[in-house]
Amino acid sequence: MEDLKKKIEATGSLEELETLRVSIFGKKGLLAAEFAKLKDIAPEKKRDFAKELNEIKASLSEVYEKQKAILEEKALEERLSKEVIDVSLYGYETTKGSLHPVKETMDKIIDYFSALNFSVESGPLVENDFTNFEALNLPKNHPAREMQDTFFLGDGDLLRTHTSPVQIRTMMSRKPPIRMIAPGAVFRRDYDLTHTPMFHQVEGLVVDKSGVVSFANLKSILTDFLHYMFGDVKVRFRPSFFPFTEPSTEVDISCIFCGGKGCRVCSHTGWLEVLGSGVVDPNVFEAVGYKDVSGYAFGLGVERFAMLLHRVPDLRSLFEGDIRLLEQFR
Amino acid sequence: MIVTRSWLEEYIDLNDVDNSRLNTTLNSIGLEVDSIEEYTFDERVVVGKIISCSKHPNADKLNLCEVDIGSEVVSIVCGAANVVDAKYVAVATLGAVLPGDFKIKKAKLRGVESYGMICSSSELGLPKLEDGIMILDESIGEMVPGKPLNEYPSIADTVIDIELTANRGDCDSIHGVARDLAAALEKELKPFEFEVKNRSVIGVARELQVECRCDTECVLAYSIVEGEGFKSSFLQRLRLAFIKSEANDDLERLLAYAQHESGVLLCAYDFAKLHSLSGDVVKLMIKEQQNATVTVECGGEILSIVGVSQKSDYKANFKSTKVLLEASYIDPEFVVEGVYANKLQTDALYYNSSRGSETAIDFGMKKLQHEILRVNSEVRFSSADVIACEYREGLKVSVKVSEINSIIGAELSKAEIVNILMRLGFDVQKVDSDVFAVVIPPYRHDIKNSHDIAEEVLRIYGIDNIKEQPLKVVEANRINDTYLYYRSLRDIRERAIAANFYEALTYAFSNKELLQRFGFDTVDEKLDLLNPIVQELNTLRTTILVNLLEAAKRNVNYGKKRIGLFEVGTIFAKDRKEYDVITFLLSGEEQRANVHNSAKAKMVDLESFVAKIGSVIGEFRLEPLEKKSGLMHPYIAAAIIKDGEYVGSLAKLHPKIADEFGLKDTFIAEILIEKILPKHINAHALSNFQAVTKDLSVVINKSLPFYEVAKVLQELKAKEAILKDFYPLDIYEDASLGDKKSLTIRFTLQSDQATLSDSEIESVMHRILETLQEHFGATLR
Repeated sequence: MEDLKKKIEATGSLEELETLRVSIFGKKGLLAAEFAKLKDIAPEKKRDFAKELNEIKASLSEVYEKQKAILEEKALEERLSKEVIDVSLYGYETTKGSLHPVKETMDKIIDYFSALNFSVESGPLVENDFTNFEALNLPKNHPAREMQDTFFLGDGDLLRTHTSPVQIRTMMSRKPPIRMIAPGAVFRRDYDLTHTPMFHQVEGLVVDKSGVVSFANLKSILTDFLHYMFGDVKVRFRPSFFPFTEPSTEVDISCIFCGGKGCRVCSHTGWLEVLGSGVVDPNVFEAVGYKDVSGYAFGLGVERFAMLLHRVPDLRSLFEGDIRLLEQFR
Repeated sequence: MIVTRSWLEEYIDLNDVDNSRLNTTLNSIGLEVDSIEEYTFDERVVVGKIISCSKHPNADKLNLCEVDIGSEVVSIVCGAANVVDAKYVAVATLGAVLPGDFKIKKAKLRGVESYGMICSSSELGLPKLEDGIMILDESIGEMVPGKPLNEYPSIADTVIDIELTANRGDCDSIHGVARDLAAALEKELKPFEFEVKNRSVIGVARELQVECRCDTECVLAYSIVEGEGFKSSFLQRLRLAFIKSEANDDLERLLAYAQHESGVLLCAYDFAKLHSLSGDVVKLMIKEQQNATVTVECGGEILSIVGVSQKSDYKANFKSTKVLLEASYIDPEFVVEGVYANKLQTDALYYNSSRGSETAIDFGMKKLQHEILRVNSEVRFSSADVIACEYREGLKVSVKVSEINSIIGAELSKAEIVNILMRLGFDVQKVDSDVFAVVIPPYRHDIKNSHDIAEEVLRIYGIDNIKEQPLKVVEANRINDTYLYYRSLRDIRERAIAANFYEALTYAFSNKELLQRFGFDTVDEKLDLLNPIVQELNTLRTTILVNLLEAAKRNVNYGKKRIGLFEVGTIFAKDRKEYDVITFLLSGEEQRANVHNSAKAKMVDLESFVAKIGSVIGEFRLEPLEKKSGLMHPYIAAAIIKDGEYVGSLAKLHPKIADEFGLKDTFIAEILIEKILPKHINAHALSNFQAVTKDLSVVINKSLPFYEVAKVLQELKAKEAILKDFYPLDIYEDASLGDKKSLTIRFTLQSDQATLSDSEIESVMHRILETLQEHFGATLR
């Protein structure tokens, strides 16, 4: 009996174990032969004999099952080990592209303002003199028009020089209150190291009843927005001039390259100009037929934000489809 | 607008204001500081007095100077020709270190010892003043040999470049900036007091008569000055160099200097030439013309257009011995309109007149006379100045304290507001209750209404002092179609990058000739760009494909072997209607050479391109394309059909074009965004019964495209309830089939009501075969 147990435990393969099983438990096996002896045993001993035999059988079965499990596990392991792959050979072929840093920055800006319950508005790239200039308090001879060299089209229309005409279109088609941003491409006839003929802006406008919207509100949202975009920077508001806002301010952040100590990027001023904004000029409201309202507006250049955020050194490279640049944003 | 600290100090006391505070203050009141440059010099750079100057014994071009440098008289060899005219010079004495780490040592020049260097302005790091060495004079202070240059504040000065906004013409002068600073710093402006002593005894009326016929606000002052030509001082030249003035005639310098300081428009006419126009008594006519200009005429000849330009024929110069000086002011809005309406050529002074030059012309005239006299003491001025035309009354605006506060979002008291406005030169009247009237100072033509006043209050009160207040908003659903459209675009872009494309961004322009050569529509001539920036971008683009091809070409040049680009952008139709499209370009290697492809790169092919497009835009079918562009391979091009509608096209790039752009195998697609936006979907009930797949192989004509078969099967599908789906499984061609091919199609059959019986299956398969037989003469294989 102990002998048999050892024999089972010594088997090295499932085949070997099967042969042994047949020889022990099979119809012509050892156990069958022992049970056959039962008929020759004296009746009074029969019971004990049978009992003993059954116990042996149960005990051997247990050893058998155990060994079978061990051998099955071993066989599986053998099979799997043959499937071995050097996984470290994989993963060198990335199949993901990347969003353009300007578009991605625009997405981030839109995320902020839509979370603050601003609507997103859009308008055509081709605009006319009224929506692009006149209604924004920029009459034909205004010196500020010199600042915006315009692409003109054969029929007297033009490519919008800023996203501000979307403000005008929105106000002309809707009653206040208004709480909107207008992201999109704009065009100016300028082409050098720091200017491209097309770039992107996000414009914002909030209009409510007279006396409701103030400069202090503008200061609040833009400060928070710039912290959202650039993290822990200092924000500075400077009085400035835009024909469509009064009071007008430009907004600077402390230089993210030198921390405000002064470097080449910030022209040693410690500050980077990032936004233009102001309280909407009453002439603009008058042009769209709004009465007894107050509002603020702001506008920013998306390329500038993207370049600062991602340390892109060359503006023009953004428009080249240069994969060497784009693959860095994968 | 460039100012210098010492120049400002002629009008405002800045003793307790260091450069850092000056910078902060200027920025905080809206005078944006572009740059600040502080000029300092080595203490061993001192004033030297030239005692003698003789030719170097061994060199023609060198001079040997004996120079008093205070402590001693030293010999210095100097190569500059103008040293012979010099009395006082800047000497870098032994041991001095000049910009560029240039240390002055004792030197032997052609056998003569030299103990220091006589400096030019550039050698000291100053802007270039003249050829040769810098010749000093008493205009910057008493010339004391040996006194360090650093102790002369107007040379060791701070130069501040201010970027003026278009509305602040009032700050386009030293005096103007000082005036605004004085308001911000709560300081008194130093008055300019000057009485012309050298007046002629002969009445000016015997020489000059001025008549004015002018309705618009235009004021002029005239004075005659006689002398023996004009000189300028070192200080004047130095400051003009600091402010980057281009004046290079001494009279021009005097005019530029006085104008930069006072802000008043100044010019000068040669009086002798005016005599020749109108005789002994020069008669000037100031005339408002019908075309919205004001001209100065003499003997029927136009001498100048006020605020716009001066005719060069009558200009005076430093050699002129009798000069008519003119100081003027003209309403900027009037002058701008005149220039715009008549497309006039303008002088440099138009920059100032159009932004609103200083209105106090008597101040400008006095300043000019003062500057002339400082250097040219022998001159004599006419008995009086002649003033022509009149000022308008100042604009009166009513100010409401509560309105100002609600614009800026603060709670300033009336007293605070009044104080700020008075500091800014506003004449505050009738201060009672919440409302009061102010008269705008004449030089602030930009201020017209309460918002303008609010800005003044804000900038002087200080934006930093305004407490941020989040706006209380009434909740509203602001998710509109534009936002949803934008969200969809974002999803599409995200899917494109997941399909291994990089997002490109290119200009909405293209090259018209190129578009036409490739067979694209172009925007109608009448609607297209009038003033393109460069020839390569001379039209509004009607496709993004050309832009991406050019980008791909650049990438090839950068050594990129796999180029996958997409752009979501606007294109224009012939009628300039705007469409948003998504454009794809996939070129070169699909998979670079690596372990998995046995080091043999896998090139892009139609199948992988189509699969990628599918992962971006969802399920679609390809059909033959009617109108192929010149970019497309004539036999590998397709219309993309989605939900039965044309949404765009897809093709292999024509090999000729690929060669032209230096590209390997390339695929392109351009798809209209509006056609691939997500649609609303209603679910249908799921069948509980098992689906069956059946394959059917038929022999058909080799040239028959699958889409013809699909079209017929699609129609059948609409009739056969249990025919759920089909797709091409296999194509087999061999010689035995001749001009035929074997096509295997896999069908999915399923009933919503019951498990399909064999007879049901057989019967529908039979009808399919019958239909194919009927339409294409298909036979069972």
